[in-house]
Amino acid sequence: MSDAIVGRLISKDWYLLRRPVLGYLGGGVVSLALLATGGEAMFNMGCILMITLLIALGMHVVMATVVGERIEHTLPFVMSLPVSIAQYTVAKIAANASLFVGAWALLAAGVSGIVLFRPGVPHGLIVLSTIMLLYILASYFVVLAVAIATEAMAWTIVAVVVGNICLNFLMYGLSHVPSIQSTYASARIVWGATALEVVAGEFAVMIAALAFTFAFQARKSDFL
Amino acid sequence: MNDELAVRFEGVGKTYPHFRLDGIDLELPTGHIMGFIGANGAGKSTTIRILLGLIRQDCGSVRVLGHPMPAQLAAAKRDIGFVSEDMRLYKGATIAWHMAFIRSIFPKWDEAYAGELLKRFDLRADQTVKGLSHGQRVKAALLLALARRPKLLVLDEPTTGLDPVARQEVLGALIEALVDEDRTVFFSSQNTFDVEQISDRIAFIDRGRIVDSGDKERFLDRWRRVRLDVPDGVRLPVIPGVVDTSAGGRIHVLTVNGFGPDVITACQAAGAVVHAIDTMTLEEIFLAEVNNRRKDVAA
Repeated sequence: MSDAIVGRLISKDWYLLRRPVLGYLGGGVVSLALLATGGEAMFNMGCILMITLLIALGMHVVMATVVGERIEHTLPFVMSLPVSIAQYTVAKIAANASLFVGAWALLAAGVSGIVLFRPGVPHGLIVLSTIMLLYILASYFVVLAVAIATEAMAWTIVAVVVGNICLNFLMYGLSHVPSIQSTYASARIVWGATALEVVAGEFAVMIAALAFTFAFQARKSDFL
Repeated sequence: MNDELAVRFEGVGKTYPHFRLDGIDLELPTGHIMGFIGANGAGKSTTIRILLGLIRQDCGSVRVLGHPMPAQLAAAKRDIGFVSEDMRLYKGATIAWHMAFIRSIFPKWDEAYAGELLKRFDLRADQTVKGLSHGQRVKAALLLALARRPKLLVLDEPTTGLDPVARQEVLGALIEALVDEDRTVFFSSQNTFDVEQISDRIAFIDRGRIVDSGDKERFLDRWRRVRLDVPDGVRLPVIPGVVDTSAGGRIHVLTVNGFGPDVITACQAAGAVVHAIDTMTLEEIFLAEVNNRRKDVAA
């Protein structure tokens, strides 16, 4: 029963969010088409559209599956089921991660494929695009952690806003770090120490966000 | 643990900055329907959330269907059906989807019974929740709770917010659904009329404390309102069980908890003339209990 209930809760969120996620994937395909076929202006537009879509998808999934259950009063329905707090937390993280990370992985693979195979696009851009895509993923896990811990729309929006502000700082920083900036136009992929440190930091943020979520939930005494 | 008890609270407390649930002792034997009555903010929902293991009590112990709570909340909830006034179903999904979802979780789901309840509640399985009225949503939630065949049904103000017609429909449907069942029900409400219709046991809660609890019939038997003519110069003695006395001229009205012939004897011995002995409704009893307790606390 214990494993089965987690699976049921994940399927429920998949079912309820299937249409919006497909919509975002459709937008992602448009964005990939711009990246794959457009000139410089269209390529930049494709980048902006891709970043916007991924941030919006992350926020939509978290708001709908976590904050929405509190606001729409469907949480009492879920908690009437034979589910413990720990199982609920696992189900929420797994449903969110599979919905968002699945779409993110598909689109990230598309972006990487275009950078690697579109003639005229320098392979060196892989470093920048990977750092950016991982940042969006890490930022998503922070938003998810805040949403699960607080179940509050206001705090979740604060997390999204802070994540977006930091994204701008990251972009500014990357364009001013010589060891990364110098590789953009390179025909080959160069993973310098700084770039690897940034990637490691992004993975550390993801792990910390997940650990925080479980630790916080375990200490909660009131769940409804 | 007494195996006959479906719910047992012993000395349960929970403190919030502006509210305290204090020393809750409560027993609900298997097969009984308990009406849990209290005003808004009395502590009904907090008590129910502790019962379901969704709020951890600061002190005391809770056992539900033999499971210590909240330690075994998932195991206990396999046999609990819960419907609350603030519970909503998923707007974009149909009733049929909800039924399939619950069926996939509860092995005891009774499809035939669910179909019967659909008809009785006048619901259509292909309706999306978005298009349902509040009364229909409550009925759909009840259907989902009842058809899983729970040993314990916990209802937290299910009739609150319904118009009188929908309230009567829901209550009638609930009474019909419960009539042939050997099911334990914990029914919270601020509406004493609803509780009086379906419960066989009563508990009153006020400001976080259980004021009184017991068998409903014994409750109703115990309370009386005695109307007296008290001639000038006659002073009524202190009579055990009299919780309130109101007077208008010579007419005195005594509210008595634990009524017996000795009350009448004492009144008559003092020189008063008994005009009438009236039974009291559950609402009148509730108000008398609460006001009496508040007077005691204030004193």
